[in-house]
Formats: sequence, structure tokens, C-alpha cells
Amino acid sequence: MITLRPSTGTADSGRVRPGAILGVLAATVLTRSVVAGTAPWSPAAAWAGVGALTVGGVWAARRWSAPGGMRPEDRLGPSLGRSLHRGSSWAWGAFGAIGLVLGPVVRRLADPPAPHGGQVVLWGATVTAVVLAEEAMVRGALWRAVQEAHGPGAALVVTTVAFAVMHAPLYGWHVLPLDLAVGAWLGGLRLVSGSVLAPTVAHLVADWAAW
Amino acid sequence: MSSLRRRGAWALAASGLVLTLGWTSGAWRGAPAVYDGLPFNAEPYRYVNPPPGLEGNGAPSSVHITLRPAPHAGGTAFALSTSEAPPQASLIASDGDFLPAGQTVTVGIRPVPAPQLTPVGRPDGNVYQVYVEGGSLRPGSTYTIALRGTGAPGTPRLEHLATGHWQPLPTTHVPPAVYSAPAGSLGEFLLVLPLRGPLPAQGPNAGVVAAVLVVGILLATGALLWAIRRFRRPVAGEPFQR
Repeated sequence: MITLRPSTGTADSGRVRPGAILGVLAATVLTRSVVAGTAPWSPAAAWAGVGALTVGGVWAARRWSAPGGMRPEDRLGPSLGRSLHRGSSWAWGAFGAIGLVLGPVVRRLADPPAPHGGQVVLWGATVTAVVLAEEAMVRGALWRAVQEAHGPGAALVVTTVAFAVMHAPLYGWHVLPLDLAVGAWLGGLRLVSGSVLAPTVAHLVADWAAW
Repeated sequence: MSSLRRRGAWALAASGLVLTLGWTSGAWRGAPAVYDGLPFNAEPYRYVNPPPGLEGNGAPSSVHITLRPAPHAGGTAFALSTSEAPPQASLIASDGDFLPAGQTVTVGIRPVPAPQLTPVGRPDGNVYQVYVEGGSLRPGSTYTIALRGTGAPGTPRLEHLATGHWQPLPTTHVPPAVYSAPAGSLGEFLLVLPLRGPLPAQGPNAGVVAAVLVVGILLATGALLWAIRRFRRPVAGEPFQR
């Protein structure tokens, strides 16, 4: 069945095609992979990955926040106040975080790790930048673009696959099943909460828990 | 419950089931602790003597460097890493840590067959030998050795084969799977997992903990869904999805 959409005037000016978002995603992953190809675990490769993701995330956020791109429920400011009032996005985010860290917590209870080395502040900042960029691109701009074109079910499927595939070049294809499940989990949070805030909170807490 | 929320709940239920099954079965034990960060265990472990079924992982690599040591302790720091991703063995030292017999000295790490002397515990990966050719380690110098674990259950510690015994080193865990320690002599190094004994009396059984947490999360999910359905009133003109 073909649905004819009336022109929405200026609202369409900020609409981004799904292909454009996927292209930016592919470019960030490619940049990270090319640099990582010479020395996969060097600091240069790590920073190239974070840098490419950040640039992609800022681009996606700018397009997404243009008129017609971002819905009111996605805006952090109003959404923050409304969510605090309703509590649902934050509650879903907390619930999603619990679900994601459940496995690692059990593993750590069974086998307490040795003391950590490294710099927790640098780790936290890096992970935060990565999460915000990924969420802005995947469940922000890409989700909105695919949903506008093909509906929320397609948005869930496309963003789940994109989320899993974008992690594979650096971390290896063996993480694909795990990241598919995580992508579906975060997409489910996006659907039930109606906001990108919930998956962002869950993703952020889960990644911080990796320390 | 709206159609969108119903779809979201199904997505959460299905993915939550897969996540739970993956974690409880150990299928993702070698996977990243969670989902992002630097670095992750990206490549299957390469064994000198691979266990059955893991012969296809490839042979572990060696690495060495030839350098002109500083005439005094200290000098310029350098790092050596084998070529796996992430490296299975790394060494961080300074060129002043070595005394050359001539002008240069070669420092390297190589995987070696396990010696006859076995450690108290289960080896977690290959034995790696740190060696110096054309010189020696400067007395009193220390360097850092780091080995990657295989992802087997348990927390390994680094041990050094010295004076006829495997001796534990003060091990630091570098997430998610690398373990490092300072070393003051050359020779063989190995990650060793503690022997599996009876469950500690005061320690939680992982299976019980998992079951309790799974039941807890299911109850929490039900309570959350009930609360949202019970207390959430539709907002007039709410721009919810489409």
C-alpha cells in the first residue's frame, strides 16, 4: 500500500535520507578500521576511532536537530524536564542499564577481577563521547530517518543491524550476536519510552560498568 | 498499551532472553565486558599447543627489537607487542634497562613450549619468554610484562619461572583481558588460573546469583510495566512517534 505524504514545507528541510546517515556511519567505521589496520590496538587507532565517531555524531546531531528532524520528545532540554516529571524515560533507561549490566555483574561476582590499572577519567570521557556519538547517529538521526520513510519496525531492524555491524571491524565478527542483542535491547527501549534518552542512559551506564 | 510500546516490549523481551542465555551459558565469556571501550578481545587466542578444535586460530607471533641502549639507567621508553589483536604479549621498558656486550642489544618476546615444571594452577595461555641477545638486563632494572588471557573463567595472575619455581608476580588487571606485572629478570612468564576447588562457604554460587538476578529482573520488569500502565495518563497532543 502506498501512502502519499503531504508536503510539510519547512519541516521537510531538515529530513535526512537513511542512506546519508548510513553513509556517515560507514565512513566513521571505515576511518577507524583503516587507521586500526596498521596497529589495531595503538592509542592512535583508538583516538582515530573516537575522533571519527565524534565527528559523525556531531554531524548527525546537527542534521537531526534541524527543523523537521528532531521531535520534541527527543530534545534533551524539554525531554529532560518532561521525563523528570513523568519519570518514564529515565525509568526505562535505568531498567535498560540493569538489563545490560546483569551478565557482567554475575560474572564479576563469580570471579572478582584483579585490581584495575589505567586512567578512569580518560576511560569515562572516552566512553561517554563514543556513546553520545553512537546514539546520536544510530537511534537519533538514523532511527528518525528510517522511521519517517519505512516505519518504526524498520527503524528497529535497521538500527539494530547497523549498531552490530559498526562494532565488528574493530572488535571482531564474533561480537556480532552480542551486539545484535544489545542493539535490539536499546531499540526496544527507544520504542517503549518514545525517546532516545532511555537507550542513551542505558548504553552509557552499561559502558561505564565495563571499567 | 500502544502498538509501538507493544513492539518495544517484544523487542526487549526477545533481546533480553538472548542476552540472558548468552551470559549464563558463557557464550560471550571471551567477548567484551560490556559493549564499548578500548580495547576488546577481538581475536581468538593463538596457542603454541592448541586445544582440540582451536587449531585454526593460527600460530602465536614473536617480536623483537634491536636497539642501542642508553649508557645509564632510564633512557627512552619503548614498547614491544606481538602482532595479535590485541597483543598476547607485550613488554614496556627503557633502553637504559639493558647492558650491551657490544654496540647494540636485541630484546624480544617469543612464545615457547610449556616447560616440564608446571605451575600450581591452570595455565591460561602460552608461556612467553623474554630474552636479550648481545647483552643483559641491567642489575636492578625492572620492566613491565603484560600477557593477554584466553577468556577462560577465573582471574589469572602472572607468574615467572625463577630459581626452579613458578613465582607469582603482583598482577594488575588491564580490562578486559590483559594482565601486567613488573619484572626484574628475564625468562619465562605465564598467566595462571587458580585451581577450581570447592565453592567457598561465604562466596555466592554464580548459578544461584544468576537465578536470583534473573527472577529479580523479571519481577522488576513486570512491576515497571504494571506501573506504567497503571499510572501513565495519555498526554493530550503528545507527539509520540507516528
